[in-house]
Amino acid sequence: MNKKPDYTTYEGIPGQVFVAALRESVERMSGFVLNVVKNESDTVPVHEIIGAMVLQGDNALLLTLETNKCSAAPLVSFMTGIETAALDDALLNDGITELINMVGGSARARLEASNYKFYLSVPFTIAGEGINIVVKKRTDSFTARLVCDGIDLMLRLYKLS
Amino acid sequence: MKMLTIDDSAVVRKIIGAAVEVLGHDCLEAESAQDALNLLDGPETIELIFLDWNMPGMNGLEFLKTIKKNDQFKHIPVVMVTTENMPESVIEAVRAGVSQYITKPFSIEELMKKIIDSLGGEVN
Repeated sequence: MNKKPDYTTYEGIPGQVFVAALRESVERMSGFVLNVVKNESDTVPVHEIIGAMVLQGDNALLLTLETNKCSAAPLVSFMTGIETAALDDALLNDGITELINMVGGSARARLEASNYKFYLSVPFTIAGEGINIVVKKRTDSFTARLVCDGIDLMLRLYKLS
Repeated sequence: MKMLTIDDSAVVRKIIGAAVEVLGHDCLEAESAQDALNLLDGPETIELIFLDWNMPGMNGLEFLKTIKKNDQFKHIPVVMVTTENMPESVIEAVRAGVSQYITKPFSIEELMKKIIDSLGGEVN
């Protein structure tokens, strides 16, 4: 009898895998338990920090985590034990960069036995008021908004190949 | 006891430093492997190292192999703290001489347990 191979093929972007990786990363590093909410665009806060990394493979993705300083501050504060008032922009940006790095690493392990097997680029941050990443209209993408106690995070994935 | 955390992320250095302080020890910081080698050559006696894998310049694995070849530093236990979570990475690091391996994300409790284990159960 042939044994079924332990391999998963995703037709679309495996967004829920990344949502699970983000929830795990935030909960373990800061204790906050994120909830997924409906993406109501009129209530989305202006983004000031975008953590990003490229996931390189046959199915390459751009992974981003968009947020603002008000959301990043409690997250980084609970991660480091440093009071929010003592956190400067460099630490907030670094915290979001590290978080996206963890999400990428965790998702890579979860997707190892799938058609989304990839290498991780160096994580980086784009910072500035009201920033957005704009892609071609027909690019496949996935968006999830996660919140907890005033923390508001937007996880996005864009299929690059 | 003096410890050293090597990570290009300031946030990770702060997290590890806070855990070390809770356990009653001091933690020096280096944001690159080269900075860490300079600190090891300095007057401080380092008794435990926390090491990131992916860093600009010399990476964590190269740093580990470098100190394990050095009679002065090869006895220092090294805890790898990294997002490199694939089994082959863990095996490679263990073969190169890490004492403990912790993957990001981690909870503060997990980190403190690894520190205590690395010190043979000794807490100040």
